Amino acid sequence: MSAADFKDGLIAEIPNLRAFAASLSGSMQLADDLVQDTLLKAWGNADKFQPGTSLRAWLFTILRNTYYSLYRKRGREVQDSEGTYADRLATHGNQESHLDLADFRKALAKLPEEQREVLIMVGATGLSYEETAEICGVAIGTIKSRVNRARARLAELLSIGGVDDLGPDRRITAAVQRAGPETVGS
Amino acid sequence: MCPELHAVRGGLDRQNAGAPMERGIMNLMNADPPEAARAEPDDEAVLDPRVQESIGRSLKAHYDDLVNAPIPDRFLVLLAQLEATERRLRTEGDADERS
Repeated sequence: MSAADFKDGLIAEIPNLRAFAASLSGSMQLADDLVQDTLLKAWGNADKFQPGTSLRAWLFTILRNTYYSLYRKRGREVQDSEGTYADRLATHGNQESHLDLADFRKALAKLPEEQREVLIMVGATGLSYEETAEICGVAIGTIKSRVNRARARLAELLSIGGVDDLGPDRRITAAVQRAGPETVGS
Repeated sequence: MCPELHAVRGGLDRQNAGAPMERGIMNLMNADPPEAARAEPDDEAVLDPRVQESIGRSLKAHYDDLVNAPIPDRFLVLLAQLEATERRLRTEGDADERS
């Protein structure tokens, strides 16, 4: 892969890197520093990237490692002093979905990092369970388990449930009872 | 046995009779097998597909909103500098070889 091709590949991944970094760190400012570090490391280690494999997965691995080794503590400090980006970030769309998105982001920010990162990777980035497991250095079963717990916790935080048409199964209704009587869309 | 207990037993039997079906639903809806799910209390709750879909849509909305945000120039400037530096080093290297 030529340097120019590699550079184009990096440029194409910047939006995803920023979105993942912001989701992970909870701060847009930290996210941009994190992306800059990631790009520098990627450029310096370009010879280690295997053409034909997922550049996104490779870059996410670098970004995630950088975050956990250098940024995690700063992230907490920034969030404590400024609040999370969820409180400040300008969002597009109509008022109703804007409010929904703000609520969702506050709930997302309350998830443990290990749950939040896998939920984002699996649910929004287009990465597979296999790639996510490799990026996090854990088994696929662990990823699936974290995704399930993350979803259950989000439903709880957002007070969404509603399974009245599924019958009175205790395991299924447990989530609804915990989450309260509101249903999706109410 | 009092009638109330009979009624309770009957309810339990009906639940047990529905167990295989329930497990199938769980396998479809829950990424974990039921045995593994029971190990973690939070995994026991199987979410309504509509709830899962709602969370999935919100996740995409959250992420896509960030993806679509304007990119600061600093990244393009940085990569342009890195590329220019590498090109210069390579040119100098070529010059060294020729000299």
